[in-house]
Amino acid sequence: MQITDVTLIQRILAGEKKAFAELVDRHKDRGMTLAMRMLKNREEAEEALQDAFIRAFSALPRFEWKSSFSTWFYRILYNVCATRLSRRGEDIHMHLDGSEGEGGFDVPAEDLLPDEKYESDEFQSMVTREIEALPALYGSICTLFFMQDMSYDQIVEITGLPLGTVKVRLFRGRMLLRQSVGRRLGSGKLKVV
Amino acid sequence: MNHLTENEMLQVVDGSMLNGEKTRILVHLESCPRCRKEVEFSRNLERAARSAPLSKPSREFTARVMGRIAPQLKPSIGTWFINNLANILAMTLVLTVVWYAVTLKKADGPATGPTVVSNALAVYSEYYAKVRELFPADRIRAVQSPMTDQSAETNKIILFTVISILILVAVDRLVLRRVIRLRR
Ligand SMILES: [Zn+2]
Repeated sequence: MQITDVTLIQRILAGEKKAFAELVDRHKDRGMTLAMRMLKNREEAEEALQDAFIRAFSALPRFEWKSSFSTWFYRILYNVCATRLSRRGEDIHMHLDGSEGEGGFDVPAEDLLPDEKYESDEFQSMVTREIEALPALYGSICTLFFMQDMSYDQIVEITGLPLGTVKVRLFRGRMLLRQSVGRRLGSGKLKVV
Repeated sequence: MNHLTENEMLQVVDGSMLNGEKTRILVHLESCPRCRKEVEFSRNLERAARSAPLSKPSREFTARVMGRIAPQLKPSIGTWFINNLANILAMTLVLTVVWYAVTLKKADGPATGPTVVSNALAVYSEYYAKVRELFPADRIRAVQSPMTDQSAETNKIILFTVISILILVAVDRLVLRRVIRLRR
């Protein structure tokens, strides 16, 4: 049976620092994915991830037991990445207003695929590339939603954004992804045989 | 015929259609192959998005994080030096006493029986061990007990040594450690 994050945290706080390595191993890949989708640069993403783990270690005595370690850690990581983005002049915290969009679809019906084509590796890697290319504003929230299967409430807790903003960004992110994959299909990168 | 909006399509994918709308949406899907195809596309797209491979940091990542954390765990050489200052000073004192005894003996000529040096060393080591062990409760007993057949001059050296050590240990325990704790 795998030891829970909570048990690992208790061990770390009791002085068993090595247990922190286990916690890092458990969360580094998902953390790296979130950092990459926000910062779009491998080196910087790894630095941000390292920074977030070190901050988490120092803040562990103040860990709020009411939330899971992953939610708590992603909040630290999200903030580290957001700070780096704002240093670049990209403000991820800006609030967007506007509707969720009620327009029609961008993907022409003739570009859509027969069901069996969706199972292909080509389609999978096309979607992966497009989700990685989403602007940080949407990429961060879509990543939390898709990768971690997080609820609106958890995303609100991590990002500190109002619920309405989270809903709008997630909707727009999903639509952007749909449109960009649709365009790829239309441009013949993945032909229907 | 009005096709589904983007929002309605995502509601179908998420299974979060509102009760009032559900029937209308499902009836439309039943009769519209185009919207069915769109919903299928969205479903597959989102399934692929969920199973997108994770990015991995470099292989030595965990070791690097632990390396950055380690300095917070190990005391510095400076702290070690100050923690052991009393021991260092006590050893210096012992060596001074030994050196003093050796030079004193040379001036007096050859001695018979236990020399001043061996007496001083034996008594000192016994005292030091006891003092470190018993301090501060049994300080007086430790000073008194093994003092029996010593010459007056040797006694003076011993007493001086013991008092110095007691002062050093007291300074070490009561002052230096507190200063270090405050500086942290
Ligand atoms: Zn339709």
